[in-house]
Amino acid sequence: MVEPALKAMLADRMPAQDDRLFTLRVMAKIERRRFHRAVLLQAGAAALAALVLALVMPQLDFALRVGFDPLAVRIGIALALLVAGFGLPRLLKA
Amino acid sequence: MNPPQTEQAWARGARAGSSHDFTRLVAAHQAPLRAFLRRLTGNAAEADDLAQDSFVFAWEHITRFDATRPFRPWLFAIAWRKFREHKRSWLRRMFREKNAVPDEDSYAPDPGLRLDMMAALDGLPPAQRAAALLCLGADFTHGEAAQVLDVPLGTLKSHVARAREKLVAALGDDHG
Repeated sequence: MVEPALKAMLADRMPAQDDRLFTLRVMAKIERRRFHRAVLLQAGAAALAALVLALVMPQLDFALRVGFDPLAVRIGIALALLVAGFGLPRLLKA
Repeated sequence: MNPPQTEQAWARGARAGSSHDFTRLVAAHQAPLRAFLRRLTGNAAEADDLAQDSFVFAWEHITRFDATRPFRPWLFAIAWRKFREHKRSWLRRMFREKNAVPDEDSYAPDPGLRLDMMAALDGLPPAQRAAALLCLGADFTHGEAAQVLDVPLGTLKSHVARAREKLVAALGDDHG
């Protein structure tokens, strides 16, 4: 007697079997969280790259002014920026 | 009990990162999960929030799921943990009690077995209520329900037996 009544009560409160709106809400929530996480990761990587650059800038600046071939130094800076901008996020993601 | 082939395929796909397959799992399990949580919480909106959180958690931890086993007990176990965490959060509870709008069918004037059953069920401790809902109301095996509630099989059987006794006693006078 208890089982049929419980089943009937559960069935009574059962949402629609094909509630696409609910499914959509769940998947939207998942995508939103994934997006926020990706943004946070990218922002963190960018902040880290900026910090590293700010720390090494005096030395780089000094090297630029004294001694080295300016072109080679600039290529080095460009490479460092490329690595920081593209390589680091991929590395963190992996 | 072996999971159906299609569900196994969806679970494998979801484990491999297919959100399309996970969407199918959500569509297949949302109704019973929400019904279970609605009876546990007594509030449809709260239950749906918990169900959403459970699915999100399931997706984010899908690699922990063994795709050779049924998806339903694993999902319901997550929902049960979410329900308990939610209950523990006193801030939320206070807010809920302050702002709770009763479900229309929880307080509807329905003088029958259903209402008596609801009242009797609401009087049970949460673990017994969940055990009764799973085993007596939703066709879970004792093993599956024990996995969901994270208790030994003996404890689960005892929860079900006690819940049944209390429900029968509560309903006995009018409906026995």
